[in-house]
Amino acid sequence: MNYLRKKQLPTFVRLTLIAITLASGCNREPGSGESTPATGAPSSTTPWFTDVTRESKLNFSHVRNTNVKFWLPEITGGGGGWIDFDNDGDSDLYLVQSGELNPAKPNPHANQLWENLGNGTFQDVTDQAGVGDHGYGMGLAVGDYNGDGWEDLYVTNVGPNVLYRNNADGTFTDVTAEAKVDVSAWSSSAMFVDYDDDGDLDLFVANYIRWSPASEVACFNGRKEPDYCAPAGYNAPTVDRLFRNDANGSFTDVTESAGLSAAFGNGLGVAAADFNLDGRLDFYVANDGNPNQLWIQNENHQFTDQALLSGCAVNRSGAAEAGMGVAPVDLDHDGDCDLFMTHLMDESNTLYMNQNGVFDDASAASGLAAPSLQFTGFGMGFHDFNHDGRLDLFVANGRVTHALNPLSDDDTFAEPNQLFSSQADGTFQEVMPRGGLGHELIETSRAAAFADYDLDGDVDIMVVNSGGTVRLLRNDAGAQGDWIRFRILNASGHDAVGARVCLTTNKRTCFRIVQRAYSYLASNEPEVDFGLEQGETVTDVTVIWPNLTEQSFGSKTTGQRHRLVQAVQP
Amino acid sequence: MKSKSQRKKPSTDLRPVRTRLRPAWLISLLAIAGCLGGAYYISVRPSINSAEKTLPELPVNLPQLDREVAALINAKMDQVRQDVSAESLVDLGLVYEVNGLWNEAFDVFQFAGRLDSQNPDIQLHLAIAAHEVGEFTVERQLLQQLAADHPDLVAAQQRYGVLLLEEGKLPAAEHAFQAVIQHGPQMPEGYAGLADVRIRQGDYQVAVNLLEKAIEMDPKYQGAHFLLGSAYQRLGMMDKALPHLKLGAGAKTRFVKDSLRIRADQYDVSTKARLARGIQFMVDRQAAQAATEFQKVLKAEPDNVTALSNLAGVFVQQNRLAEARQLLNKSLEIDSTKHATYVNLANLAALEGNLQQALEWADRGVELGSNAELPYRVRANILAQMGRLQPAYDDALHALELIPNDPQALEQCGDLAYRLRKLGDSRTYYNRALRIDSRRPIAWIGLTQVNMTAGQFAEAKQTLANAQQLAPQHPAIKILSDRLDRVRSN
Repeated sequence: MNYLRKKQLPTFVRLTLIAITLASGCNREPGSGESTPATGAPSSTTPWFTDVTRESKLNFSHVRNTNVKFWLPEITGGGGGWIDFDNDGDSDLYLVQSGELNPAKPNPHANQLWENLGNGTFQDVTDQAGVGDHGYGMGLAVGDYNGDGWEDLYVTNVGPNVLYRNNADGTFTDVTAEAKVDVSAWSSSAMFVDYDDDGDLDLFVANYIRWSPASEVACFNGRKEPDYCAPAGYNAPTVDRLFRNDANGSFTDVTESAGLSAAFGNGLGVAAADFNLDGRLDFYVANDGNPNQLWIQNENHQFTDQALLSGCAVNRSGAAEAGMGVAPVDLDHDGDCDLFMTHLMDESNTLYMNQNGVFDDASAASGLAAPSLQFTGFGMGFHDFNHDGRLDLFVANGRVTHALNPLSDDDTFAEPNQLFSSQADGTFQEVMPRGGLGHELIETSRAAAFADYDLDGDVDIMVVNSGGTVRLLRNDAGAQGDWIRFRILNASGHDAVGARVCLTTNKRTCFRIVQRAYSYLASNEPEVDFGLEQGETVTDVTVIWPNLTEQSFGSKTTGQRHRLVQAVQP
Repeated sequence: MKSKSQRKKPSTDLRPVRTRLRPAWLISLLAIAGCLGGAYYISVRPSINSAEKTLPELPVNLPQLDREVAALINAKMDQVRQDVSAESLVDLGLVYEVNGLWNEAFDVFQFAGRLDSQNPDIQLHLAIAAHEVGEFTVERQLLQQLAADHPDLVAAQQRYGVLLLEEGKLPAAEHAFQAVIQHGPQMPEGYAGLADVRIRQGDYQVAVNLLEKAIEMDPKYQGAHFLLGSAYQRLGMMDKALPHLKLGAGAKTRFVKDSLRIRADQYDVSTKARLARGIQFMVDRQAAQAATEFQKVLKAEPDNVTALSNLAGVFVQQNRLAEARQLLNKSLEIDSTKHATYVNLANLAALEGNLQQALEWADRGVELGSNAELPYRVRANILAQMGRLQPAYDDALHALELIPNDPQALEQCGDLAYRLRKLGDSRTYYNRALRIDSRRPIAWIGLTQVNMTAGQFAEAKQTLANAQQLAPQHPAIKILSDRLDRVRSN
């Protein structure tokens, strides 16, 4: 089977296929029948997740500002993600703090690293590890940039970013200056990715706004009360940065030479994948209030923004929306990369289905548009949470301006998060109570990061709340079905971001895309996970590496994690 | 993270959450409410919390509101106190609506709806306010009911169609947009909405046809341009797609204005609204009204460059050149990066006969406003006056690219093509302008010139008659008529 390129199909056939494949979750073998929920799968009223924050001993509260001034960074931050810093096979947590915004004052608040002790609890090891950055934090990127087998950490700030090199002994060293990745802008999401396919991890940093306290502007809501401004109010879009890894411990800023300075934006979310299936990784940047960018990589590692012509710059009416988080996902299992992104209240979240390099806005048809209109979405991720063979969706919500009728007595920005279950008819249906918990949590959520922290095979969620406590949501729904997980490593031993994994079972064929930095200000576990029906067997796993070479790994045992490593080219 | 200045809350039921009344207002409003008697409990469809008993309070921080807005609100509240009727409440609601005070608008329209439950316009504005305050369930129910009961209420049909599109309900959306086309065939929004349905159904060629019609009706309809680009894109016609996608990028969903909204516009006393009204008056050659709007803006904001520049433009139209110059100089002092200022300076210099200076100003205008069509058109005029017809024509064509199907831009291209003896092109541009608006005397006059030069005198006679009918006093008509008579007598 050749997975490299999709065949051009007539429009009506393609539209039909979208409906069918969305419905089944995977491309099913003829006669294999419709997917049936796994025995004992949770009903719509059974909680999918349990809030285990307290039991886990995680104790982190995000601080927006020590003295709220309606400065834009206050309502933007709240990042965090998963990193296996001690290489023990389970995912630890790094939580990004904000705190004091006034540069004239010291920031008493610092980022925190929590070690997963393997028994369901976490322990604060920030001081020992030396990663308690006191910058006004936003997000992070995780990757082994120096190829020593240990995950390093890049922290984005309003102000200087920080690169922490893992010393392989539980400690880190700030190597920002020597690595030449010192961005002193307002950075948001970031990712390590081998965009030039030379075997080492490069670094992409999305920047939000050219901002300083002096550039703050006063904004008022309809009642002339002080409130947070829209980014347009600052009229200061900026350029994202791309750093090429020079394989000697340092990077070169290639933003200009790669063509990425040709377009400005208010970047918040970033994704990397081969969107046009030409064997080169591209970047997609979700901008807040101005057109998104689809940086298609050409020969010689040059990039051209093709978002407008590809149909993913603005919404289907032509309006630039408030892009927050973004996730690449192959939702119709046709081997290419679709896109989902979260937006402001009154702008629906958007699902773009990739049809031979042109994106169709399928938000309304998927059922994901209408339920999102009343909330402001940030972090998100598609996973088969309940192991029924179909990808579900979790969205973290929280407002960015004051509500006169708040949903929470404690926090005027708070909203419930949302969990959507993929349905057999091709649509998504929201799971109630909202967020998949036994009771709704009404908080101002920002980052949502996904990992199987308890190693039970299903995907759990960590949510960072702006101005509130972090939440750890343990998945209880996945236990009803079977699963299989893969760590996909390239020949250099790095997670092969952008690689596509094609799983063939006795019933169907499914695709996943290796990703780590999707969602918003987050880093996620890099494993790809598949939920399986009881009795479903895996007959083949094929990886299509970012350079389009294919490698079959044959049949694999379910209920296990597998490491698939790219064969070294002769 | 674009800010949304209005209250938003998710819909959980039909009960709107109310703001707490302060005691002083509470007493007076309860007194008013008490006067309403039985009318107070008239139910509306859909039933919205019949227990609501109070008029809305004034917005908090009233002194911080724009003075004119606050004065308007006070005046309308006084009217309500004197005459608690649906009419007076609607007036108050419209003031709230156009000034973005959506909570108050929602409450007032709800109240008005109880007093006049059969009035679809009130229900429509209640639906609009419901959307803005996040009462999406209320909005949906109201629009659904309105669409069912009042198929000819095109503003409601179109809004309902847009909502149904968002929900992915294509047959129902198609039905709504067909109703818009049937009852408002002159409104491009119906064709654009139906085209959106067709695109979602994969029927791209039909969508192209509908969108070309919509753009012919309104060449500046950004949303239609974007949809047209999308349709071409899906047909694989990327060369045709890109210009329309660029023109349409940044579009906002456009809604048909109903009669109340048109009335409401006069209550919008914000700077933005005044500037928009002033510019429209300028386009319509109503200089005095335009000047009034700009002067009111300048009274509140003496350094508003847009108002300064546009008022200067009005003065140029009125040949008050010295006053215009004074305003433009002030505008330059405040902000030297506005292309409109240079465009007006160019016009001013051209009127004074200083074409070289005019060209320099126009060049600067083009440099700063390369995405706007006006600087190119002004420079084309100046170049034409200097006898440099080919570069003038190039500029006019560039302006037309930026604003396709604009009748004035088409007429300018027609004129310059004629002067360059490109008779076929000239005829095409004039005919395109007339297809968009057949009541354009300039286009008929231009077409007459083309016909006469081409020796097509019978056609010239007909096109001249059309021009005469529309603008009998136009000086060119007499000249052309005399020429035509001479030719015929020879």
